[in-house]
Amino acid sequence: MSHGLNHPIRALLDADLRIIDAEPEIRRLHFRAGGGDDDAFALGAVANVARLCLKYRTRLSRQIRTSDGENALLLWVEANPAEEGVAIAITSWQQIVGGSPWPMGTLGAHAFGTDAPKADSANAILLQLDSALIVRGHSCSDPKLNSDFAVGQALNSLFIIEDDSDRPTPPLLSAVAERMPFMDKPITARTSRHAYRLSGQPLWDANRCFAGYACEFALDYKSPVPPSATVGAPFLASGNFARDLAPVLRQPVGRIIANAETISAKMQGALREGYADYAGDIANAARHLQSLIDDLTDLEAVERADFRPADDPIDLADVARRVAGLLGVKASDHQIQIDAPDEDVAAPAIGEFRRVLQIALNLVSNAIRYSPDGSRVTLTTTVEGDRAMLRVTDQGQGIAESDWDRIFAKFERLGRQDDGGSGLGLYISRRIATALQGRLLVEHSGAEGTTFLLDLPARI
Amino acid sequence: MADLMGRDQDSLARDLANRIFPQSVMHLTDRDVAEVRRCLVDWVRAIERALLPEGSMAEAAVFPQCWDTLAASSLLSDPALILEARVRAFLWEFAQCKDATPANASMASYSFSTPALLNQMACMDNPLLADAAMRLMSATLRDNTASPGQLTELPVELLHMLIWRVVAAHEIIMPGRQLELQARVPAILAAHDEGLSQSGSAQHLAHKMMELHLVDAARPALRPAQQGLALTLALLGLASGLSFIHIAQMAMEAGLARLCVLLRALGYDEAQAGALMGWIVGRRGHENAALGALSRYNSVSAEAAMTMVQQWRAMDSSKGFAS
Repeated sequence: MSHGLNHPIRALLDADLRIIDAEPEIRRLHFRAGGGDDDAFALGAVANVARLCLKYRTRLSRQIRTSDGENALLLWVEANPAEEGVAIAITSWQQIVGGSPWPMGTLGAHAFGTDAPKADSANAILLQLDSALIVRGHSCSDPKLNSDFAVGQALNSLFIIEDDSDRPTPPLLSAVAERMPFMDKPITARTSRHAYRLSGQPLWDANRCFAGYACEFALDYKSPVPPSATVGAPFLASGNFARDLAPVLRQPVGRIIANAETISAKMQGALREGYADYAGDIANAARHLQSLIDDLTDLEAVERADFRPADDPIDLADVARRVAGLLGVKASDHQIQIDAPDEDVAAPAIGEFRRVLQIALNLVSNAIRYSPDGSRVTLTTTVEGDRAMLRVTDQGQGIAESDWDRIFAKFERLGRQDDGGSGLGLYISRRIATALQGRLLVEHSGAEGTTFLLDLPARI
Repeated sequence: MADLMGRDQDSLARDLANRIFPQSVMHLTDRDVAEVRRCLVDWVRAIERALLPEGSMAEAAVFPQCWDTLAASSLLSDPALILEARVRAFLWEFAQCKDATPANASMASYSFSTPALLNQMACMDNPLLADAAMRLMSATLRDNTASPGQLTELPVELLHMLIWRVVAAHEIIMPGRQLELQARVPAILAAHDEGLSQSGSAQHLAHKMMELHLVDAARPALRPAQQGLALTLALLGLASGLSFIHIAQMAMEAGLARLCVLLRALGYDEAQAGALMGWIVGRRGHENAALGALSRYNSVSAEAAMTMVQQWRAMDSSKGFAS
């Protein structure tokens, strides 16, 4: 096959992506990719399109870059849902002899440009970071500096990234988030307080995936040692997490999740035993990190002195019913029943709808997370005097009375380490409740379960 | 709904930018916000039209029923969705603001919709090439005359995501409604066809042209007035390995600086780059900014430009969405 198709090359795959019928060219691709007679279609990229088509039951038309074992192939693939499974048609087929016109690999120094200042080679330390920005090796032989470059440690745990610009995000962080080269950026060792200038080149593996950075450190004799008051100051203290760091973190974390889910779902083809589970673990860990970023962003917002939620007229019973609807599927996964107030119940209150919904979602999510399968979570609303109240009651194991207030502390998880929480949800919820002129507390807890109470000003 | 939440449309509009455009996306001007909002509104309305029982929608309503819930709940803040909306709005606006005066508007629109090259392709012997050209012609014609927010242009992953968010918003508005709505979701997806979108058909045709050696695969001749914008962007995308949406994003930037880098990396000379950039900015009124980029064209080293394009490709491939 060279080029110039004038009719589509077709195949019919069943719901498990096994070939029911296929023209010889497609069968050949399948066998060359390691597939057998009864195996799922082995060419991962095409199988991925077929899988999407099956999932959404819609027609897809996509470009595929793949290989027949000898040459790179550029295919245009159309997938149509069929009664038996999915019908594949390849309508364009290009062979790229000699590989990609865009060779990948370690990038040369040319990317810095001809005007790039050169580091003092006598003091330059070469260092390699992997894709998680963990130090994988370095050339430092000076015992006085050696502790700055601990192999196996993350770059940000070894160094403080300084900001030498007026831009909202330190240029180094922006460059790393975008996988761009960076040059001559100020950075300070956390332990020794040595100041360095750092340059880095992104590295790409054979699959064109980001593989880390090749870095060059040069001791910066001009830069004074930063005053200890600023060294190691928590980033949140600057009050700019949401503005500066969260956007930078969200993008790479989102990519990690997407890539890990792709691997975990075996969308690119068969995987060695256990590898998909490992990718699933990575996706879960990254999702946890993403929720932590969300929590920290919220945390910063609610801790601002000027945090003022809106005073909207809302109905707490309506909020409760919506939360029950939104979390119904999650609860049913654990055979947990959520009982919400009846349609004719109303609890008029004052508060910002979105924020109250956030609190209620947090309370009910926690109730589902910590309740036994097959139990019941009950949402009740009342108006008592000038207060509107929402109670969330679960049938979990209860909380010791000494912990009733402690669980609202920042990062408090009562010793739980593997529940996927950040220890910020209740803290944030209480801050929001307080800002809404309300209260959030544990009203009752015992062996039969726990009741959380949110009370807000009633709308009279 | 607005009354229920205590929000009137004015206050909703005031905080809309903050609510639906997270800082992680990009800097957006007021005009961007307006364009994206229009596109998102159209998409949501089109989905509601397909989901809700006939007669339950007020056709004269400014916003879809679930719009303020979606906006307030950040369900529209997905960066991929916003980028898609921006690009669709750009392509549509580009087609509309072609050098059309009232006197020759329809003719200009027609000539843009059916560029000469597509007519030639549609008459060629290879039936797959002719089919691809016909699809692009009809998609271009449809997209130039309809609104930017047609569901036909969404990649299926985004369409799927948006539909379910609309369902979720309706569940918030009216608990229990999702059971009724979700039964209609498969019909919307079944009616979708990526091959009929402007970007999809343009990429298909670009593929076919390269396969048949009608254009140079490494540096395709750029004749935008004959090819039309979508095919020109698709050819550049195929030659560079970048996604269509990425190239379109470059074309809609005021200064065209990244497009400049791309053209340099692909080896176009200054005159060729200038011709394409002039054609694009001439219709958008950004001549000065583009001239600035073009004046530095030869000072960008080709190797450095290639390095940057490689990095863009790596970012593209990790995003997971097709064109």
